[in-house]
Amino acid sequence: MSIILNFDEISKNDVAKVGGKGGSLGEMTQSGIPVPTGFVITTQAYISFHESELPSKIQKQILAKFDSLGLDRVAVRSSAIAEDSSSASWAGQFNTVLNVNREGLIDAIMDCWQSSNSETVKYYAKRNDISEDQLALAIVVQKMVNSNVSGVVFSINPVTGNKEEMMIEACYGLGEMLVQGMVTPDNYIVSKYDLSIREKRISNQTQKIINTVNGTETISIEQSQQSLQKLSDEKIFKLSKLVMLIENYYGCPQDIEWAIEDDELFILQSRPVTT
Amino acid sequence: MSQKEKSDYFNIAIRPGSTPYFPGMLSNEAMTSQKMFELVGARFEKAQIVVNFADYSNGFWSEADLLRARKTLFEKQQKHNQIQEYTDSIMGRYEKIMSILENYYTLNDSAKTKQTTIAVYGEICDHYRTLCCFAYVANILNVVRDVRADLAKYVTAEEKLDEYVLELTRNPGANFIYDHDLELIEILDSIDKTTENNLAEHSKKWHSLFMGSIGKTKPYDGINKRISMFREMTSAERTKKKEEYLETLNKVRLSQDRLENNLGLSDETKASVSIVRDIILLKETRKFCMTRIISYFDKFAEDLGGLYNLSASLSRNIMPEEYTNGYLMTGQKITESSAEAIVNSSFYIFENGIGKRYLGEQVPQMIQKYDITFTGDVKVVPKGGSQQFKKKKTYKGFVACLGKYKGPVRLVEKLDDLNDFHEGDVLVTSITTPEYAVIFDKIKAMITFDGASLTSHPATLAREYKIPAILGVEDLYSVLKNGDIVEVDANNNRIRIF
Repeated sequence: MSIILNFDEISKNDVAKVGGKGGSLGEMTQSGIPVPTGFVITTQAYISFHESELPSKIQKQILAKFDSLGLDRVAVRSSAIAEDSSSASWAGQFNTVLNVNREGLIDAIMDCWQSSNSETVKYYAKRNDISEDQLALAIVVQKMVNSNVSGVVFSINPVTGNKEEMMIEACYGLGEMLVQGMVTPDNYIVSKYDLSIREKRISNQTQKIINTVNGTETISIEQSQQSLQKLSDEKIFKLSKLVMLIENYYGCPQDIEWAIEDDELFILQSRPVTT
Repeated sequence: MSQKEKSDYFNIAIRPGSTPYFPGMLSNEAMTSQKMFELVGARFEKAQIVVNFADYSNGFWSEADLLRARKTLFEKQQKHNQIQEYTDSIMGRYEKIMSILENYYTLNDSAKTKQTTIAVYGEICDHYRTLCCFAYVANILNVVRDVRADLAKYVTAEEKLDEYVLELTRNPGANFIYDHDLELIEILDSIDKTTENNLAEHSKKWHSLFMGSIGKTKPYDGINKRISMFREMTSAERTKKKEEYLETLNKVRLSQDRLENNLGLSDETKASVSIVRDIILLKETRKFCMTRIISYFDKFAEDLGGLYNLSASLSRNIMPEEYTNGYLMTGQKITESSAEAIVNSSFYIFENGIGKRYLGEQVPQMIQKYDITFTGDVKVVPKGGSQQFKKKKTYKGFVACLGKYKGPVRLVEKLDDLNDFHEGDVLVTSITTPEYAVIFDKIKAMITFDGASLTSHPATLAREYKIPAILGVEDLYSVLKNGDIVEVDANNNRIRIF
C-alpha cells in the first residue's frame, strides 16, 4: 500500500488514511476548487514509524515526491482522523510547520507527528471520548502560498448562528496571526442570499508575518497601508462565490482558510463548523 | 418551592414565530430568555426588547430542584427513579409518534382525508410538546460541580480528582444513542435481508433521515461516513459491532464500579454520581428522539402543507386548532401569504407545559405579566434594574461567543498561572494558546486583550465550550486583580466590574 498519495488520488473514503484535512483537500482538488498543489503522507506511515527512526527508503520516497512538485517551499500540516469528528474542532492542537524547504521537510514531518503526543492533546481526546488509536496523524505537504492577504471564512455567522450570512476575516501576510488570534482582522459579513456585503469592519494592522528564506518572520507594515481595507469588494465577492460552492458541495456550514498570492485566490483548507 | 426560588426560575420560554419545528417548542435548548426576547424584538423591528432575566427553566423540574434533592439517600433514590421515569416517558412518547406516523402511511390514499391528516398532526403535536418539556435540566454543570466537591473528600491526590470525575460521570450509552449507530445497523440489516433493491420502498418503511443518505439523494455529513463504514461490513460484522458496543457499556460500568469501590464511596456519593450519568442519558435520549421525530416528520409536513398549498416548513408552524378551523388566529383563511404573515409576526410562549401562539401586539401584555417594564419604545429592562449599574465603568471589545456570567477574576499572565485557575473563574489574559486547553472545562467567561479575530482558534474554542467571550478588550492587567468580581455580558458586549 502506498504511503504517499497525491491530492488528486484521494477520495472521500480515504479519511482513515489521510485524516480530515487531507480528505477535504483531496475532495476539493477533484471538484476543481483552487487548492495549492501537494500530497499526503498517510496514517500508515505514522503508525509504522512515529516511535522510531524514519527509514531512509521512506525518506527518499517523500523527497522524490517533493521534487516532483517542482516547488521551493511547502507548508507541512498535521491531519488527524479525529479532527474530522463534527463534535470537536481540535482547533490548534496539532502542529503546522510553514515555509519548509527540502532540507527541513523530514524534520517538519517528525515535528507534526510529535504533536499528537502532547499532554494537551491527550487531555482533549479524553474529554471528548476519543480513543488513542484515533490520534494517528497523516501529514499534508502542500505548496507554500506567499500570501499578500489571507484569512478565514465561516459560512455561517459563528457568533450569532445566523445561517443566512457568512463571516469573512482578512489580514495582511500569512493567516497564522489571524488563526492564532493575535491580530484584529478586517471583518466582513456577506449575505448568502445575494452575496452583498452587509457589514464591514476595517481594523488597523501594524504587523504581518511573511515567508523568508529561514522560515517566517514578523515585520512592520507601512503606515500608509495599515488602515486600508484588506480585501477589495471585488475579491470579497469572488471569495464568497467559492465559499457557496464549497458549502453546497459538503452540505453543511464550513470553516475555510484562504489566501491570495499575486492576485490569485487559493483555498487552503475547509472543515465543518463545529459550533 | 418557596416564592423566592420560584422567581429565580421563570417557567416560561418565548420564541419567535418561525422555527423549523412545531408550535409550542423552543428552537434551541441553549437559548436564554434574553436572546429570545431579542429575537422577538428583531422580528417586530420597532421594539428592540432586551431583558435581563435571572434564568429560566422550561420544564417540570430544574437544576435547583435537582440540587435540593442531594440531601439524603432517600431523596436521591427518588430523584433517580424520577429521571428513569422521564427517560422512559420520552421514549414512550417517541414510540407513540412513530407508530402514529407508521399507521398513517399504511392508510390507503382514499383514507388519507383532510380530516385524518389534521387529526394526526394534532395528536403528534400533543405528544411532541409533552416530550419537549420533559428534561429541560437547566445546567448539568452545577450538578457535576456538586459531585466533584463530594468526591474531593475521598481523593488525596488532588491532580487525580478531575480524572475520577470524568471517569465516574461518563455514560457511553448516551454516546451510542447519539451516534444513531444501533438503529443504522438495524436499517442496513433489514435492507440486506430483502431482495428488494428499491430504496424508495425502504424509505417508505423507515422514512428516516438516514434514507436520504443511503439513497445518496441528499448529502448528510457525518452520518454519511458512518453509513459508508457500516455498508462495507457484512451483516455478521455489524452484529459483532453491535455486541462490541454493548460490551463496552459493560466494561465501562465495571471499571466505574471498581473505581467506586477503590475510592470507598459511600452509598450517598454513589447515588450522586449515578444521577449525573442518568441525566446525561436522559438529555441524550431527548435529543435523539427530537432529532429523529423532526426528520421523520418532514415527509408528513409535505402532506400537511399540501392541503393548503403551504411549504413543508410553513406547514409545521400552523397550530392544529387553526387547521381544524381552517382559519388562522388572525381571523384570516389559511393561505400561503396569510400563513407566512402570521409566522413572521407572532411568537410562542411555552407556559407551564402548554405552548400558545401570541400576536405581536400582545408582546407588551406578556411583558407586563412577567413583571418587566418598558423604558421608552426601544428597550425593556427588568423592574429596578436600570439604575443599578449606571455609575460603574464598563468595558467592551468584540464578542466571540454569546452568553453572560458573573464571577471572580483569574489573571493568567504566564503559563504557570494556569495551575491556579479554579472552576468558575473568569479568565482574563492577553491571548489564549493551545496550552490553555487544560482549563477550558473550568472557564465560565473569558476576556482577552491581544487581537479580536472571531474566526480564530481561541474564538472557536470559546464557542465549542460555550464560554461567553469578549476579545480585543483594552489591557486590564493593571485594572483587575485576582478575585475581583466581574460580569461578562457578551450578549450586550459589556464588562462590568463590581
